[in-house]
Order: sequence, then C-alpha cells, then structure tokens
Amino acid sequence: MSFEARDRAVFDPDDFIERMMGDLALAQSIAETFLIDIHRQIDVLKEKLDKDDSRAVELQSHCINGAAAIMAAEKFREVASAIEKAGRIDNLRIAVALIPELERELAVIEKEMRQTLL
Amino acid sequence: MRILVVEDDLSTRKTLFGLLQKCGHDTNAVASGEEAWELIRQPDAPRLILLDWLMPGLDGIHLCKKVRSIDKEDPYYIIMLTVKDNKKDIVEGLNTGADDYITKPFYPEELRARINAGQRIIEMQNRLRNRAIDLQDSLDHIKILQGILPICSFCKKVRDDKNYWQQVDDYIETHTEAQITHSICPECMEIHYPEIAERIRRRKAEEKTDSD
Repeated sequence: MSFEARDRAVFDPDDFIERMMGDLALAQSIAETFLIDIHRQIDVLKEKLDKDDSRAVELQSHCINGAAAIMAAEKFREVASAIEKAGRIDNLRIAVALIPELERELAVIEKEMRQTLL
Repeated sequence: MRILVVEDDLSTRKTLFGLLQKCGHDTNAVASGEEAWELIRQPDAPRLILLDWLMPGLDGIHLCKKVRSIDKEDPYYIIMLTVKDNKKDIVEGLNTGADDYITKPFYPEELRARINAGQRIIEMQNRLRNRAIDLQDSLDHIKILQGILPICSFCKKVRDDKNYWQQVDDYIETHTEAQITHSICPECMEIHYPEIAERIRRRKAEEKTDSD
C-alpha cells in the first residue's frame, strides 16, 4: 500500500507496527498513550475555545494534529488541521463547529485500534 | 549518540523516545522549550536536538534562535519536527538555524537516516575541533628565535630582553626547543688541551699509515 493510500485509511495496524520498527509491545504502548492523552487534549482544546483564545486553540489543535499524524490517522488529522487553521485566522466559530466531527473521528479510530491492536 | 527530544505531544514524544532507544541512542525527552533550554545550558548537554516547531511557551523557532546565540566551539545539530506539508515552517526553520527537518508521520528508516547524518556532522566537527586544539598546542610549544640579538664581541655572551647577559648556550636553551650538548672544537683543543690534541694527531697519523 502506498503512503498516500495508507494515509487515507482510518488506522492501519500493520503499517503502525512497521513504523514502530516491528515492535508490537511499543506499538501497543504508544496506542494506549495516544488514546488516554488525546481525550485530555480535546478537553484542553474545548477549554481554550470557551476562553475564546485563538492562539491557544491553534497551538492545542496543532498538538492534536501532530499526535494524529504519528498515528497516521489521516481523517482525524484533517479535522484537527482545519481547527488549527480556524484558530490561526481567528475564526473560532468554525473551530467550535468542527469539535463534534473531531470527536466522531476519534471514536472511529479508538474502535479500530481496540479491535486490531489492543 | 546522546539526543534531546523536545516535543509537547505525549504520544509523539513517547514514539521518538522508544524508536531512538531501540536504535541504541541515549535519549532525553522533554515536553517544553523551557525545559529544553535548561538542559541545553548544561555543560554536558546532548548536541543533537529533535525540536518540535510549534509549541506553547518557548516554541521551536525561539528556542532555535537561543541555541544558535550560544557561543560554543562544538555547535548543536538541530532537526526540526513538523506536521507534513507545512513548507512555510520548514523554510522558516531552516532559515532560523535548523540543520534538517522530519515531517510527521515518519518512518523509522527516515528518522534513523537523518539522525545518522547529524551524527556524522557532529563527529566531523569533533575531529576538526580536536585537530585545531592539537595545532594550537603545537604552536604554543614552538618558540621562535627572531629579531636582532646583541652579542658581546669578546666573550660572546648574549643580552636578553631583560638586559641580562647570558652564555649563548643558556640563551639558546631558554629561547628555543634546541638542546645543547657540549663538545670541544679542534682549535680550542689545541689551545686548552695541547697534550690531548697531540695524542689525537698521532693516533690519526698511525691509522693513516696502517691503512696505506
């Protein structure tokens, strides 16, 4: 599968394990960390949105964007990236509107990860 | 290789730490630019830094500028971490002083290759620095005898820069790396030890007769 094709998948466990140098235990540990931490990060993002702090929204969604990139969860990353851009252009109404989609995409990844890797 | 990872996202930090440890690197991972700056200021700080670009507080660009402002003989090698397609960050990062970049997601082979490139540069800098130190040490040891040397026309003592008159052999030993061994030339032998000079002359004449 090409990098681009893999990018489009919700989550590809074989590709993820390959990117962890074939170390299943490391891959599982990182996935567990991601699932615990990403919920906390989304809560922080919501707090920043409540405070109308565009720069903080941009930075927090960038962090989520980076975590999604590491997991190669491209659809989830795209939504985080759109929120990051909304923060950058100081349009938090768009950012707020994208939060349910971000949470939906996370739910899909979480289900996929628990079924295939954890 | 000792490596410092600066990354605010826990999953990415843990991933980099895990992969670099697996590659045999001694890795230190911190979550903020401020923590990184504290570590970098230590005398034994790691010289290879993997630096996330966009972070709250002291971000990658400002940390990179601060690191580059350190006057250090053995400079740091900075690899910036960015999310893919962020060309603007990459250009800005390289212009600010980053040496290389890695975009997320990355494959371990790419991470390893870029770390190895950094390691080669650091090792080359170490070799150059050591050569420069060796060269400076050599220069410090070389004493050059130059300029006008006042010497007494009769006793042949030499006057030094403190206006003291020294025997010429003492002067040479003090001001050069040469070591003097004392001997007697044939003319002085004739003047000071005529008996020995006569004996030497006779022995040489006998040796010449035997060889003829």
